[in-house]
Amino acid sequence: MNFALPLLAVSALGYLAAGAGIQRSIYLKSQKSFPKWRKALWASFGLHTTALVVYSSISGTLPVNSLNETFAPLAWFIMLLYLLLGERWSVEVTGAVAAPAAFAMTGFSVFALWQGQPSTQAGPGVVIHVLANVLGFASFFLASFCAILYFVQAKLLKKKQLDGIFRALPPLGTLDNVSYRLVWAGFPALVVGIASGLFIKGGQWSWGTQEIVVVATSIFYTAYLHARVAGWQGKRLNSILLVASVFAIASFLLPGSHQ
Amino acid sequence: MARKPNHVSLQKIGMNKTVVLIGLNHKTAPVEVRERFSFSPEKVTETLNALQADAALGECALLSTCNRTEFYAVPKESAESGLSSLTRFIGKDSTLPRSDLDKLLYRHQGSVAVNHLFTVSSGLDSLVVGENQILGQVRRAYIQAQEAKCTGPILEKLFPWAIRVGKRARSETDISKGASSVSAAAVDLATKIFGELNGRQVLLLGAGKMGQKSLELLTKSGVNQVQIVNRTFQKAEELAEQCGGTAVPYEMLDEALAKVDILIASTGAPHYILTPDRISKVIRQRRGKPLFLIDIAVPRDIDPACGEVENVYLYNIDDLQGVVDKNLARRHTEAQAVLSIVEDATKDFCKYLDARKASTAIVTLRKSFDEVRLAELDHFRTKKHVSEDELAMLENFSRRLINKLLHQPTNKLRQLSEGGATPQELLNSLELLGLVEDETT
Repeated sequence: MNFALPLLAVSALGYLAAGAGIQRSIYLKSQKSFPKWRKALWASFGLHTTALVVYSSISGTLPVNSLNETFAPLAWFIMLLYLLLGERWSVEVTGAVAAPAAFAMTGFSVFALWQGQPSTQAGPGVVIHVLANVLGFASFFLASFCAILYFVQAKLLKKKQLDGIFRALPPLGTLDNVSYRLVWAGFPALVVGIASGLFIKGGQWSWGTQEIVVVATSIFYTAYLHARVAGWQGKRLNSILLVASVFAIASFLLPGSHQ
Repeated sequence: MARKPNHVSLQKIGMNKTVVLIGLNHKTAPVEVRERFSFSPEKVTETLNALQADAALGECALLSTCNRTEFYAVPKESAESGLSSLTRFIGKDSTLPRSDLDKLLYRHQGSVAVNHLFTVSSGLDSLVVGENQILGQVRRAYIQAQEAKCTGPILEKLFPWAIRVGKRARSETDISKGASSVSAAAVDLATKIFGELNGRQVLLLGAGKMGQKSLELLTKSGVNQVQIVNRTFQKAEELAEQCGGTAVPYEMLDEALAKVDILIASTGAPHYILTPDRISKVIRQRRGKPLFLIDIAVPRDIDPACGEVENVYLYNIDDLQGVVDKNLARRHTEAQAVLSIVEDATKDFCKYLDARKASTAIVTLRKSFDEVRLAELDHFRTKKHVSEDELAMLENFSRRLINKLLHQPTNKLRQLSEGGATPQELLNSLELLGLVEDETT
């Protein structure tokens, strides 16, 4: 057994506890404990990082050799982006989803690594392909959640329901800015992911379901970035982001050529 | 030969020191009276200097705001003499008859005075519960007293303690959360829509006073590009000059609206100026950017249906007042939690004062015994047959003996103080040993 797995499991539990704490704070309409939960998430993230380093040094490979394994680095990227964003913008509330998601992904990955056969070492092309896609998907995951929060906050402002969750949610401008920056971070990763995938397949492009979904994903994110750079904001722009996110999820989960 | 320890008075050893307070505020005096007792910063220093010259007062500070004037002092003698001195001082230049003034003033001493200052710094005693300004005013009063060299060991502890209580109340409860005025509510909402207000543009439609007030608050919060539209262009120009903005002709309202982020409408027009059709046309040019419409005019300037247009957030005066009412109600529900913080802090401060009294008593006790010890040692030093080594041994022996003898009484004094003994009771215990004499007896 790889000694990293118990560490990974503890970090997953840390994410769960902190996520539950953030959700409870939102329910109690009190944001005072957010900094405490942020610290807990940083601690779990530190443990997660250690676990990934230990795993790689023992097994000689990153956990990127199957879709199930990649959930561990995916959760790591999600938490890294969430924690870095939180240092600049008050978007702690996104931790209510990001942390439980990181728990589920890390937990699933631990289960897969526990059950699975020792992995064959992936080549550098595969590692780049997986890490780029994982970083891209982590960025898009958080961006899509910010877009959902944008709609919720906009609705509350329209309906003048200024109590409860309204007070915990970040301003519309902040959500818009954070989504934009996340997509900017994720888009180059998506391009690298597609290019490295093409390289792995020997430069042969086939129009399978996954390839079609990947192209649609890039088109929607390109459209989003183009519109945002041109000065568009608001609900319609966030709608494009949400549609793009649906395609991104599909492209990540579709088996395609990853089997 | 045993010698009687020196007699020390209660006043001399400083065990009777307490805090006294005399003042008036928005609850006890109308504004016509409060303004007569208001002190400018220069006058505060002058007044503190005059108070310092008073023989009855050891330390003093003056808290003067638009809603209160309060004198805090630590009398050199009894609390009563300190209060009388302060009352005389306040009444000296007052045109009000003494009996009328007495009805407006409150006088507190000891823990009640401490509790009052903590209640003030926490914002519980403010006209708008939980307002933040008072904390800065308490800090300023402290600094002014320090600069005038009017503070001593007790006020040097009391004021920083009060500032800490104020900060705690605000960080641990929601007492100061949420806007407490219509203008502040508008700024809060603008922040909830745009995040940072730096670099945002605002358009003031009309020259109503409420509009100007909201504009002022928005510019203080970072909005730095102001445009003003008024039917009378000259008036818009005058206002633009006042607030460093730009006057825009009334006919160019739509073009201006396409560029700004916030509109404050406060005209005296008897009909809607902005309709959904007009706003929809504007919003198309804005590429989906949110537009915050604040309608504080009565009758309203903006058709309520404008609020249905996508990316437009419309709030009228009643909506903003509703926000304020909810915030104030929330602050009042938080008052109980703040009260408990204030009570705890008052107890802690009084404990500190008691411990200070006990330590003064212990120092007095030890000093008296040491004086006897040293006098006896001097007696041996005059004897020729006592060598240096023997003297050193005697010195060591006598110190150890005094320490052992005073161990129990020292502990007893500490226990008495922790058990809530008054300065008089501590004094009595010293009196039993013949160490002090009470001047009152």
